[in-house]
Amino acid sequence: MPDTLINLVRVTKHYRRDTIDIPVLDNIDLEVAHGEFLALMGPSGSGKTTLLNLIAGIDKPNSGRVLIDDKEITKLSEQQLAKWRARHVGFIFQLYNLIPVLNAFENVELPLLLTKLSKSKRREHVMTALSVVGLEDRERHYPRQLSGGQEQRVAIARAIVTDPTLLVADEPTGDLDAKSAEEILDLIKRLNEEFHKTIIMVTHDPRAASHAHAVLHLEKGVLSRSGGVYEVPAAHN
Amino acid sequence: MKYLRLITKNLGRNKRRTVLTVLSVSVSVFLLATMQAVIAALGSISTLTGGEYRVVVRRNTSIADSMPEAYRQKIEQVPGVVAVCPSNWFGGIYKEDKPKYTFAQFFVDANSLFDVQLEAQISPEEKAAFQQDRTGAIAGRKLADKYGWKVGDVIDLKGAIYPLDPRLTLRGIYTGSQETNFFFHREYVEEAFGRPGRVGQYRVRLDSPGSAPRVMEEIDSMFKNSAAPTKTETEAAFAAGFISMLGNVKGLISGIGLIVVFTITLIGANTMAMSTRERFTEVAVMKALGFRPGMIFTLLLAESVLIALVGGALAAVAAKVAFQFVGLGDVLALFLQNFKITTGTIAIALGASALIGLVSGGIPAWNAARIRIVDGLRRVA
Repeated sequence: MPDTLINLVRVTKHYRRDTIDIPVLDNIDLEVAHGEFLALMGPSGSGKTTLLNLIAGIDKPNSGRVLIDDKEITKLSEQQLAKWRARHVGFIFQLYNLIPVLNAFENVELPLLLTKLSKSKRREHVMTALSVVGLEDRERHYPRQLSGGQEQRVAIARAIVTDPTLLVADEPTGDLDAKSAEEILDLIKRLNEEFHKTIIMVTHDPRAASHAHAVLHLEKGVLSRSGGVYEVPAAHN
Repeated sequence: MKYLRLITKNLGRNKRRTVLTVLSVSVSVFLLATMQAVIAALGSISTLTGGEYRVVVRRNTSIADSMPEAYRQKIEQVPGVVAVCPSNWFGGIYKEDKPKYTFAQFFVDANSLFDVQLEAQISPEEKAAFQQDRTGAIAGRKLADKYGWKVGDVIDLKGAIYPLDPRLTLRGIYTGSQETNFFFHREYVEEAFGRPGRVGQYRVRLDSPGSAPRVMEEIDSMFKNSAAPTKTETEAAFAAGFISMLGNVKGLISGIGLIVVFTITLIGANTMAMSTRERFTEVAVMKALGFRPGMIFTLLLAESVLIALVGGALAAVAAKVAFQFVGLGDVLALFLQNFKITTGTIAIALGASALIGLVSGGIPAWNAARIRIVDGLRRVA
């Protein structure tokens, strides 16, 4: 595949519960191109979130290699992985996971505290991210003062504020009503189309998956792909 | 500085818990500060009053028991003894029976007092006026300033131990040492009671500090087989013994202070552990965003230390206010003339607070920093 961003080579993951080995992923191979938007579907317990965690560098496989932009992240130490995630990955969670004592601005600013940006530059970046998600007028609102859809938009602003290459979303609409879910999906699609973010989205909802370029099905540790072949936009060639 | 806001916001997460934790630390550090000030005051007695030249003779049974007046002449004959002054604690009430009107009162031999208390400075006229007037009294400068006394003022005391209400005239104000004491004539009390000839303590002036061990041993040996055996000790030890009339205050405060500090450290550790457990998912999210374990540890520990330091600062202010401005220190000043909350005491209080914060927050912060991101995030799902 041309211009591959994510490359999983014979990745295996199993969990150990007491003395029993529970296999989750079995020799998974996967290639995802720059700018691709993939939905990851499968029954509960099939390993979708585990696969997403491996790609995002918050978990490690038992065997196999995970390469992101030709960098083998499975060989990185915990410290190196933290630094890598801060620069390259944006996270969107089902329950938003905003810090309740921080307002919208401060939540979005959180990843930027790890950079050397000045206060004014951080403010500039945060306001840009909030304006992308349409919440620039809610910067002083705390999570409890926002609706579910707005909270998720703040979480998306937090995910994109460092301008990461890759966005991983774990059931981003799972806790939202249909209207809010549609708005969030439109926003995620826009991030892919306008800002060329590569997106992997775990979902149970076929309607949500229909926004993606292709759908990955994971069942009994085996991965299959359906949907059209993604053509890398000219900007990435 | 950019993380300070994050730390302070997290402290406001559960305001009631934070306030209660701060207050808990305050109470324990307040006790520690008091304990430290008492110890410092006890240690300063002999160096600040010229007490290294003095020993005090008292009954070996109790400081409240008395000795015959005849002991004076025998003590004066011990080699190394320069002067002897009989002295009794009066313990009367001035105006009202309240701490702010409480001060140390002694009836003494007015003629030998200044031979023993050489470092006390008083004008020859005032000294003579005091020695010539049996109803006369002298007060230290600090005491006189406290009540606005001036020479010639009449001071009425009401006996609490003795059934006698002396009416005294202030004949002089001395400076130089033990400036919170009040002395009047032993003759006055002796006459009122028909000359019982009993003495509470003999203040003994030595020719040199080096004579103290020998003189103390000789005096006690001299009266060993008498009806009233003595115990001779340095002025510092005597002052400590005086305090022990109230019980072993130093030991009591030290013990309670240390136990409370230890308990507060455990409570603080539990509070921090609870706070960390509640934020398990948030810590996992922060780690996912790129916060390294060391940074998470530092942020959580900083919260704990900040809480403890605020508690310590409150305790230091409370101690300063309570002992210096409100008058609780007056009670302790009766026996510990140099009792005060110094900058050193405050530094020790803040140091102890920081230690409480570090110890109580260390383990929970360490555990939080080590959690696996996937475990933390799984709690959400």
